Amino acid sequence: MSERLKLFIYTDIKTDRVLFVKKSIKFNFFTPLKGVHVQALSTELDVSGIKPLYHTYDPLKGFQTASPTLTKKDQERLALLKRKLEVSVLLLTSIQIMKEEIKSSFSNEALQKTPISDTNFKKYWLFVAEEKIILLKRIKVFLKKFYDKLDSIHSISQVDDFYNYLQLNVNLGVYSVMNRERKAVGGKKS
Amino acid sequence: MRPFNYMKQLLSLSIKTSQSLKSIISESAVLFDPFDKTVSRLTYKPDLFNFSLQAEPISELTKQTSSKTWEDCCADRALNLLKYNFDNYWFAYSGGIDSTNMMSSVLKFWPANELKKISVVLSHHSVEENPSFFDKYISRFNLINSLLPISKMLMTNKALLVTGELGDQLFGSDILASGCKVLGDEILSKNYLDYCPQVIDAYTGVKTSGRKIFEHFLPIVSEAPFPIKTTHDFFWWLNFSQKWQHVKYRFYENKDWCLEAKYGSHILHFYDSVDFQRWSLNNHDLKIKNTWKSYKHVAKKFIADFTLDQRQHDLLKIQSLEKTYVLSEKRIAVDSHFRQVNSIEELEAYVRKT
Repeated sequence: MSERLKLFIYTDIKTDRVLFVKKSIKFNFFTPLKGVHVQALSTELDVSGIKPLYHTYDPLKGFQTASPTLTKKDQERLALLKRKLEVSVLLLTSIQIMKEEIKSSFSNEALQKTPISDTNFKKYWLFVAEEKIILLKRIKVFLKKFYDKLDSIHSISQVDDFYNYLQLNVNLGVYSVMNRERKAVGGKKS
Repeated sequence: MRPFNYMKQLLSLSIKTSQSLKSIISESAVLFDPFDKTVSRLTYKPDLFNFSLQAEPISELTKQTSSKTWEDCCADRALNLLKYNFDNYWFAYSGGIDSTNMMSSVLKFWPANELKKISVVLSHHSVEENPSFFDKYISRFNLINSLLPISKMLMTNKALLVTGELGDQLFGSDILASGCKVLGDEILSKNYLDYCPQVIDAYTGVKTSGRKIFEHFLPIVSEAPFPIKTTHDFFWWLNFSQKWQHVKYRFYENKDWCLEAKYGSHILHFYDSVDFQRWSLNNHDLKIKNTWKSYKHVAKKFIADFTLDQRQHDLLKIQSLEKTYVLSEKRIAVDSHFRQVNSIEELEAYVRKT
């Protein structure tokens, strides 16, 4: 996506109520979460006054104050969707950072800086190209499983447990960590 | 039928949600990775769970002494691998000290005609970490990406995977890397009784966690092969006597690893030999000098002598295993019958009652 400020508006499909808003210049925060409609606007609109659950959003009418009446069942459903979205955005942030790292680690510029002789460079380049494909496929499979699981959860505490489990038992940020500690032996490819 | 005295035992514990373990473990002060996963090889057993010991007890190792040098151990282990008589040997290579030492040993001591059996399992990180070694030695072999489903491929290809695991346990402990970073290299030679709790605090990132953890493991010093004096002495002994089994079987922690792919028939660790362990017990003076940079200097010298590349002395100890786990999920635990433990409730049956 282009480097312009984007506003992601997440609304409940059934009531149009705003569940979450997210601004981002760099990353794409679309989510396939069930029951949620995501719209991305290229705008610098001030949304500081928009309170999740208290406003609605419609592409034609814009933001409007929501009706104060909401059934208890809907209140619970929307609170759960809101928490799922928050977790989803947190996870997508890690994934987007990982994608950025993959992009920069596997760029031609980065590869050319690796001090490998010309004789072996093609072999290395092909090896790395395969790794990039594997990683991107892995991300795709992971996100599918993540959303399937999130869609199947019925309580906020279960969402929190799930996210806590992921943070501790799934490596979500290995690329950044690796770059900080990297210490290569050898100089740069001239 | 189960024997009368059947006790449920774990082989390896992987879960990192110590929060969840609080509901089943009373000694919650120890619930920091890896202190909650230790399997004692001593008479004193601070283990939180019942484990089936699947590694040499220390008493067995100290029955005999050995005068083998580091190079002797590397040569013997490299040649011993050939006795397993596999057509395909896959070497897990991270570009770090342990796996580079392993590859140097194999390249130095295997007969030339056996080298055609070698494939190397690695990622682009491995190349970036040590490009000159890749360029000169690794690039000639068949390369297999470590992100592929290796355990299934091992079974299909009837190959043996050899890793550089357990090198750390021979030399010392990663815990001191954080200690040196926060408290300086001087910490290595400080009195263990005074400074180990601080080093543990630096490692866990939680102030005051260190004292309880240290006290939990302190009795191990009475079974050490020599008097424990410094923080380096203590953390090596802790790693060597308490963490060996966890590291040996932690390849199971990744859910992508197929449980049918077993230690001894599909995977081996290069440093898992009695000779290496006796070297560690008998050569404490050769593990580190007075800086973290000098950690594993004997292994780095072995690599530098083999490659004739003095830059190999600059290799730094870097966590490499986790890099292969991108987006992989960890198992909770695996029991002594190679069955996966699927919930904390199930895990409770393995808690050690003292």
